[in-house]
Amino acid sequence: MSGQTLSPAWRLALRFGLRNSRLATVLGLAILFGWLLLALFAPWVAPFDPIAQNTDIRLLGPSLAHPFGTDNFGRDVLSRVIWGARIDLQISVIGVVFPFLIGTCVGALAGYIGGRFDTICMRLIDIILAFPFLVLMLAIMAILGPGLGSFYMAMALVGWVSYARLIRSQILVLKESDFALAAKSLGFGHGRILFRHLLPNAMFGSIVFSMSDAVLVLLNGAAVSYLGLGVQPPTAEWGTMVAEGQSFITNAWWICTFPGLAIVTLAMGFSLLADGVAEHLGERP
Amino acid sequence: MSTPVLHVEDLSVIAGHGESEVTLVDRVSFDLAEGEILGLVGESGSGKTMACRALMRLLPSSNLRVQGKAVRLAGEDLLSLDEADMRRIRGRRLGMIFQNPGSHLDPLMRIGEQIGEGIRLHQGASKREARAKAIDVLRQVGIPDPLRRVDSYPHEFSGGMRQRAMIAVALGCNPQVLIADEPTTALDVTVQAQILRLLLDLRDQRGLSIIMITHDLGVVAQTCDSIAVMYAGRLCEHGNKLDLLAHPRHPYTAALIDCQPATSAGHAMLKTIAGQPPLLDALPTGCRFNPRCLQQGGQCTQLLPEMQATAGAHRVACHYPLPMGASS
Amino acid sequence: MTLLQVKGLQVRFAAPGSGPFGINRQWVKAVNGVSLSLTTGEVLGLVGESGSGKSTLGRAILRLTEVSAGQILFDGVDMAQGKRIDIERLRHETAMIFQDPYTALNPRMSIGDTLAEVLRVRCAIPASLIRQRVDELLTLVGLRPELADRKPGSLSGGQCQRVGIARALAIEPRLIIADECVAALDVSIQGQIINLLLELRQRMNLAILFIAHDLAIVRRLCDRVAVMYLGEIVEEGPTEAVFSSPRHPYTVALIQSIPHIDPTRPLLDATLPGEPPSPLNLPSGCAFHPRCRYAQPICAKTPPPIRDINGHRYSCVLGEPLF
Repeated sequence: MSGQTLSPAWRLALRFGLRNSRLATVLGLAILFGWLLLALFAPWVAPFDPIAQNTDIRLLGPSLAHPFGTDNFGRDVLSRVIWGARIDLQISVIGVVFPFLIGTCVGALAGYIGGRFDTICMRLIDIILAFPFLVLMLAIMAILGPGLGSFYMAMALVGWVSYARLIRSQILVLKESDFALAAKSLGFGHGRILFRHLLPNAMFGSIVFSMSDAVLVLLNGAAVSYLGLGVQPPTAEWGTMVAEGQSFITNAWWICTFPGLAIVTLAMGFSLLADGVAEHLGERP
Repeated sequence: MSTPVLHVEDLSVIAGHGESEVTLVDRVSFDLAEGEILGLVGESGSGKTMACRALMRLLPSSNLRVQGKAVRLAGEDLLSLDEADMRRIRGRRLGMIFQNPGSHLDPLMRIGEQIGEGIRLHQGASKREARAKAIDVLRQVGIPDPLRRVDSYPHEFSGGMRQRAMIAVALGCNPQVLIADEPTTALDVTVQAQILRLLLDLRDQRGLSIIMITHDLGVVAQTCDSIAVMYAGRLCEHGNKLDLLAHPRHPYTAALIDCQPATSAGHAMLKTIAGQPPLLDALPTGCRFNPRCLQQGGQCTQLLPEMQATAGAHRVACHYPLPMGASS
Repeated sequence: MTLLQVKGLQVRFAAPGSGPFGINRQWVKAVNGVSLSLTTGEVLGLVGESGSGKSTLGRAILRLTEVSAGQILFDGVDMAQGKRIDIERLRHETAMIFQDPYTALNPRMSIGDTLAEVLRVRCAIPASLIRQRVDELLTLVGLRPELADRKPGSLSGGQCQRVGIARALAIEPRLIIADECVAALDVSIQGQIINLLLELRQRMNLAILFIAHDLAIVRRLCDRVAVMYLGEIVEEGPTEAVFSSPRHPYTVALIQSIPHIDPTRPLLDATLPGEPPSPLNLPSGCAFHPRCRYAQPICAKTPPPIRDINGHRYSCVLGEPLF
């Protein structure tokens, strides 16, 4: 009896333990969907213009008119948080998609082709990993100039390495598996074997990772904006808002607390979804 | 036979709760005498491994529950013990060896230490005593040059030697009962014969009782004293080896014996059991074997047959057992 | 008609971790000068212990691993030196069945898609007929066509193995290499798969190279049997001749080690001592001599002669049958 496959009895036994995964998936999706709706309908949902300044109502605490208070320029924090969702969702999605695609392609090819190509890819990854992540990103952004475009570019140039390593290690294992050999013995081409048979089985880890990576990208975006290289004021973005609000933390706590909470909930949504997806994907094959 | 070393009565393993409850092992009962080798035979998924893990209370998931009337090891009821007491029993009085010794030995620990660990834990021996004992056990399981091998790591051993080493680890504390879960399935035939020989010798020298879980009737026929056949979580026949193999009473046992490719030579089609074993969450009503059974009566689809003694110690769970002496 | 003829086939791997930059690299000779032949419609059993190189030999014949030396004549064309187009043709006429029925199928593809893919890519069957052909194939191996939408994970081992066989048959091969294809299955299911292979062999005139370690099954299924030990074939001949009068001491030990269901037959005392040595440094002379109870001084020095008695070939210094 093979060690890898579970006999029906054991599979049955394990199934009972997985009931929580659905809850996590639903909750994660609900949070993300909520933010997506807010972002899409921001012009209608937000009570005020997010960049309209009004010096008469500077630094007002939470009230009925301004549930999240106002900031040092008299802008409504609630409206800015809602509008910020547009930018932040975009950051966490685009900031993941490009590294994911590049990393998957490089990792899959490196693992499948092997040999010298693999060695070159791996050394390149080692070089990139040798630099602290943020330092490298800031260096790239300093060259490209501030702005969201260069942030995405920098993410794509730096972030792919983790995906490449994940996919490569999976492909290396799967390459030796029986079904890969079966595909080869049936005379399938390399492209078909790699993209149709190996890759779908290798994606599990990196799909889960991409969810938690979305959280990291979000925080990176916030960090870069905080350092003044990302989103430029007066555009509403949670990271920038936290950065701006921190000098008022002692007398106007609401300015950075609410965008901070927004970051936390979005991050929680992503990681709940990651957990759910992980168990869902892990259960099936 | 005197009082059994191990007495198991109505042992069940149940997964889940309430509506979605599934019984993986259903009221298994048997006795094991001192020095007896019991072959527990069944197809994969029949619950034979699960039943033995339930004995040791080493179940793979916390969603599984053990139920039963009694599991008595030399008079002591194991079901009433708490986890700490159970830990004392495991290793010291109940040993277990597995199919794949490579993955059940700690790769970063010397063989001698792995054997000695149990001895020191359970018998409070000093490091030096444990080492001497380990060398002794290694010699008993037929590992050449035990003085040197005691300091080897598992990866330095070949497959057969690793299985011997695992037996040595299990024997370190002199257990009364050894549970061997498919001990030779991963080994080559020539090495399999060596390991089976070793288990027989150990039984003869130490009076060790062994439960041998296997799917290979050939192995059972050559080593065991009695045989218990499991199907879909239930015991369907239990008896003395000679009786059971020569005159199987349960249709499943008979069919299983017929399936063995070694039974006859020549280019005829092999006999098979049509169909697949049932899934445990979608069991047929009545006898669990009835969809695949050749001789059916009215009760088979109605009532689940219980174990009944037929002759002597021979027990069978079938409404219409095969007649005695009918050669299958 | 000879379909496949293998002559002096060698496969060697670089031992892992040995010889950085190719200096002092050690070679594992997995297959060491093997010759065998297979005619249309014949089943040849290849038996041996793990590490004897039997699986490697099977894969080398299909050119799934690199061949170091020797010839593989398929229909008279040497595939070992074959060009791309030859290998393409080899892939069209050969197929493989694997040991573990679950890992041999892509877990993320339904079994219908798995079969359809082969038909579409390899057989150029028009899309409209594929569904029908998939149903035919599933019926051929004794599965209900409704199962086509299932994934391998929701099927039993025996059912998966049937899918594996259906996939092999989809390209209508002339040679099938079955690598331990029933070893992972339960006894009652084993019989079903073996019977299926026997039936298909009859119906489609298939040649099968049946790689196994279970001699009882080989005896039932195969016309001829070849015994491998450490990369070499030590004995080869018609199944009944080999089983009833084995000539090589290793074959004798293998046959004696088969557990018999006859309870009156006691377990033999240590049939064969020791375990196969590492293929990294093979013993001199006859590779089997350190474990052989009939070993003579000459066995350690020179390789044994190859003897041939009416198509029953073996390589040993002993002349008489051993029982």
